[in-house]
Amino acid sequence: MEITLNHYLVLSTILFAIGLIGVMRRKNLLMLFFATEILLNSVNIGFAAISHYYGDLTGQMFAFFIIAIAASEVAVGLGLLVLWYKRNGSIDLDMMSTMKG
Amino acid sequence: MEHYDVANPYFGVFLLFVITFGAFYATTILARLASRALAAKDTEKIKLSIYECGPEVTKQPNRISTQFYLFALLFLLFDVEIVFMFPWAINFKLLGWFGFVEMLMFILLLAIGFVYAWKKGALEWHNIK
Amino acid sequence: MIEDILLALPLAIVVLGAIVLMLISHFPTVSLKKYNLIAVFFLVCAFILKLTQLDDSNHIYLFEPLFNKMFVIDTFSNLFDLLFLAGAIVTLLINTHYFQERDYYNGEFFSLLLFSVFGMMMLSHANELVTAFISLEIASISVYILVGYNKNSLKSSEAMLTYIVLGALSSTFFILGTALIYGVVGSTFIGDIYSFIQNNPTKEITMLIVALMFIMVTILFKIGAVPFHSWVIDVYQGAPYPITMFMAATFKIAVFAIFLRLYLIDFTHFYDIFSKILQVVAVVTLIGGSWLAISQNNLKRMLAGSSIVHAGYLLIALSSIGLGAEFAAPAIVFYLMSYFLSAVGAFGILSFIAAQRRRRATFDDFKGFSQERPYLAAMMTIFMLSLAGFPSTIGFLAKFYIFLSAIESGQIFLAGLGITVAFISIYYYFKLIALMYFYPTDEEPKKFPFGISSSVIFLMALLTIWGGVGTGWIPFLPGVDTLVETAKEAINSISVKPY
Repeated sequence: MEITLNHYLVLSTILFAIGLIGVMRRKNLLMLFFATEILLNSVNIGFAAISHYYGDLTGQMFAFFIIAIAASEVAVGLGLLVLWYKRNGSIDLDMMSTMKG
Repeated sequence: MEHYDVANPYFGVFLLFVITFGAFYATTILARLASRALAAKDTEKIKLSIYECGPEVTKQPNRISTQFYLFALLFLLFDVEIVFMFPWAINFKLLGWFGFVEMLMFILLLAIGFVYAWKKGALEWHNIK
Repeated sequence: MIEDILLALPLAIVVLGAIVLMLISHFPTVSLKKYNLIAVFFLVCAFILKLTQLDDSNHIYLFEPLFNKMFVIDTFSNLFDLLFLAGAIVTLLINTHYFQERDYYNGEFFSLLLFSVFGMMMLSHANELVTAFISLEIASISVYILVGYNKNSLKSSEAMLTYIVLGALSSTFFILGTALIYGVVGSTFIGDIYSFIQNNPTKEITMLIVALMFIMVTILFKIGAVPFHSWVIDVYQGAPYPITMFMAATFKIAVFAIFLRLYLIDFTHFYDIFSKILQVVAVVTLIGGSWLAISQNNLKRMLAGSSIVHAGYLLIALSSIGLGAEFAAPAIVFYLMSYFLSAVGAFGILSFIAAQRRRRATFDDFKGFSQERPYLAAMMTIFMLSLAGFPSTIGFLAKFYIFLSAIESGQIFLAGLGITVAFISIYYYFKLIALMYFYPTDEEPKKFPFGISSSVIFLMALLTIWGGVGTGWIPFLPGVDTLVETAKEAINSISVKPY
């Protein structure tokens, strides 16, 4: 079987769905950041596949940029997570309850 | 409010949007309620515990410093930035001098970030006890 | 090339300022006041440079041979740049006092603020979706960190965690929408998308609509429209005052900059469907925001709730754009300017008071404030009146234009709802005024504290009033008409479609 653009796009969609479910269902903050990474990287697969399909390199460049952005976002998030863990001893989402709006 | 034209083909899409929205919220609320009712509460700790291929984890006498974590993070960030140099290297002739100057500026910015991390003491080994 | 470099100079100055601040933050001898001065100096330089470029640059692509239409410079983006720079300058000046009273501020704070301004300026210039995404992330990541800047406060860290998790989730929708558009169109330039839909009116249309909807989800999240509003109040409360001010007044404008550009160009062919969606979102935003604002006892939370309501008014105008109201788009720009003036002033007074006392945030704390500090109370009244849309303030004119455009496009129900909500909002704004004026206080009357902070707040109050009544009074000063004209010119500069 030949692998076509559609296969990649379906893979990308499935990964995006997995990421979304991860964000919705997980209570652990670390897992939440993992899920966000999955979301961004699923889009990356889409970009790379479409770029190959069109024979246009721009899409692959976009993937690079998204990787860099994902890395910086997670770096900031994890930095805060360490701070939070030092203070609370837990990274459970349920611990966040000082404010309820 | 004005009368929505049901024959409009977009009205279906709009309806879909609203229904999906409702369904999304309903599922999230349901999922939250169900998980609160059903989930075993204390599994998180075991789930997160270190698993080393079967044998029991030996307790480390000294805890690992967060400094290592900082190194890993910095490595990740600078490592990822290198990725931008490959496309530039491929198109080096095409981009010419302007591209060269631009890449120099990019590296300069990276270097400034590096200097900042260095001066901030993020790379000091002797902080680790 | 040289002209392009000149046009890019304000952006470069802001980044340079951020880097300088970052590097000198190691020296312990530099005081907070100096950091603040340096930051303001760079911002003012960029502001003045931008001001000189406001007129002569109509739709130029920056470094076109290399960047290929990624960055556009037109009156629209220049106007928004000026707003962001002014927002940052005013935020820094008003809070000079606040920074010194708190021990957790350092050089990096100002550096991050400048980086965030840089991201916003890029956002207003972005003519391509991935560029827009990157600049949106530069701005938001800096704001994420700034929200959690007070490491000692549990609330601040928690607000930051909420914001970063939800913000990261929402921004993935933007990039997903971009990927879908790239798949259909084969390009992510805003103009290319427009001409693709123009030339192939039926091809893959559902996909494009879904993609644009994803992009809209991100934008609605960032402006805090109601289905995506759950973070607004907590984050606004948890953030330090300067950052609440910066987010409410400046960051929101930045998001509207890209939304307007996209909405006026790419959404053109789908106005009939997106107007309906925006109508629904506007209705729930107005009602939900009012409910949230009424039910708060804390002033910061009340202002956060009211900022949701203001987003609702703007959404009314957005939906009228699609239904043929000609003046709706300039009305949005004008509303953003007026909201900027009043919100900055109101938050400024709050932070000014918070700087001196450890905590003064609930409604009850403002009882009898007019006897204690009559001038500040008067200025607060002006800002509240302007936020409520009272005649003879700039807020009234802005709301008037919005409702006018809603009626012009035949959305009588929305206009009526907007006016009703404006009347409801009088309740929570006037509650504060009544508390300040009609209650006794035990506190001694204090002198008017002359200084940078109070004079900037005074200037804001003056502008708010002058924007409402002063048009044409003073011969050489530009009045409200000029602002409206500039807004129109700005909108015209993106509506030009030389693609």
